[in-house]
Amino acid sequence: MQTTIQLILTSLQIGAVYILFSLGLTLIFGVMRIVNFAHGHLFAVSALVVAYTVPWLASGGIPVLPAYLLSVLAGVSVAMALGFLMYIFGFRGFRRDMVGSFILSIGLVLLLDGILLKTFGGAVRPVPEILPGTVTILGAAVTVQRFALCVAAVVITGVLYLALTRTKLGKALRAVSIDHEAAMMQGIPYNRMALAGFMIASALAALAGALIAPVTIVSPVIGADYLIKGFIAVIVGGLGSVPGAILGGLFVAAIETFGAFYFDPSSASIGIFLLVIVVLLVRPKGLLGHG
Amino acid sequence: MATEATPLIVSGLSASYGVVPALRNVSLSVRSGQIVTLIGANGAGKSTLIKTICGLVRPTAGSVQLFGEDVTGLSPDRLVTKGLSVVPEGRRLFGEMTMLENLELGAYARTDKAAVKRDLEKVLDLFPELRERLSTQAGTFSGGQQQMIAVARALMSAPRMLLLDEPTIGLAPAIVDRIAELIVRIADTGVNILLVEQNAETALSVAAYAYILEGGAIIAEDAAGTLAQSPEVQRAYLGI
Repeated sequence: MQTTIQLILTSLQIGAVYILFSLGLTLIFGVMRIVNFAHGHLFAVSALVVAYTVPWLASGGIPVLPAYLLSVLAGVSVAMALGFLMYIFGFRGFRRDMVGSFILSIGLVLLLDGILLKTFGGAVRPVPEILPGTVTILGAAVTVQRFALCVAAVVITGVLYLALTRTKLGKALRAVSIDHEAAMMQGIPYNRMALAGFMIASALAALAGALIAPVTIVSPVIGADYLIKGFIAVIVGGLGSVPGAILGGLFVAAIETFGAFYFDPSSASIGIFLLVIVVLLVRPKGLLGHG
Repeated sequence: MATEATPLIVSGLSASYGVVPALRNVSLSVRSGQIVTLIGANGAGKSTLIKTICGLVRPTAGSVQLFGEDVTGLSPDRLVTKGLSVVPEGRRLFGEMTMLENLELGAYARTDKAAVKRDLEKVLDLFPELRERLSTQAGTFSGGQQQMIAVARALMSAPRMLLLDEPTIGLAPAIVDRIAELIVRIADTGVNILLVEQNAETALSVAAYAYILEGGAIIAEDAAGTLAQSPEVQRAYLGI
């Protein structure tokens, strides 16, 4: 029983990050009908900035928690600035162009890989512990940091969900992702909505990167693995569906965690790909997909 | 009115998909207070004309004037702010969103909240049977009801010029009459209307003036009553 709870908690921690990732991918797909394979680099940039600035600020005498919060702000700002540049000089010209945007994003992946490696070096960076200690939930222990990560992810997901369902911008974004021409006929400016969707998605990836930095080992390639899992999560859940992204993220994390415990990590990876194949065979648009 | 510019003037409009011409030198106008109809069979270019007027298809030649202003090639969202609203072919409601959300989005470009609220009441008065179901998903309504919601959504932008693209297609005869009556009522509130239809009988019965589109070109135009009496129109479009 305790093992099961421990595994569920681990799934939730990993799943929380996958969800932030897949929400971004699904939002971009919804408004622009493209997949940004360089999305993981926004995550990596944010994590790297945090990994560099926390020790730097801490060595300047700032206590570790405020140092971390400042770093999060810096990381998210830098990643969003990068996202903005990616959009303005890249994806803006490839909206609703699956092939063109695919080629562009692969190019961006190679370019950013090089830039990140050159700027930050290939060495991995540990981040000092921000919130020490562990909490016990139903007999299973989890570090405070990882628990805080989960809470933050849940809050961010909740805020995004409310924003999409309650605010004017959110409703307009949903309308654009259902039918962009009909949305324009209602007076919704498509250009601005595409930018808004892309920037919100960039912010989600940046926040995920900043949140994961203290609980993992940060390196320039950190985004790739999460991107693939996040992408699988949206395919399983259904591209363009917000609840689908959440469900898919949890699904992938659970298979990964339980598979790695009861079998081994490589079986778990195989299991994830089998899951994708089965879902696509049974429901080609994903579990909750409609588009 | 002498001071008010003609609501819609389309002059010499041509458009093509690749090398295939879809519209050839189309000119038409909607005068103030008029319901004007454009009749054409499947593939005559009706939807292309609507898409070109509302900025989704770029014309290769010609111009579109809205209330005296050249709006050729402006995107649909810009046109909404200039008083043009479109009820697209096939309704194109946001099916997974509620009826209320659809109506709210119709008023997206407006900032006068109080007036939007008043207009929502007015629009719902036109469709009393829909009032009870504001929080129902738009995609779950019947075809006729969805058409009414699409019209209601277009009215929420408080348009002065309304384009209706085949609003009666696929609907039961009783519903078609209901929609026709509705179009007249909307025109009575001062909205200028261009009704694009395949259903010539209904269109000619509500319109003051009519154009006939065939092979991407206007082949005839006249007062609706006169066209309805023309033997050729009767044979080709009215099945008489």
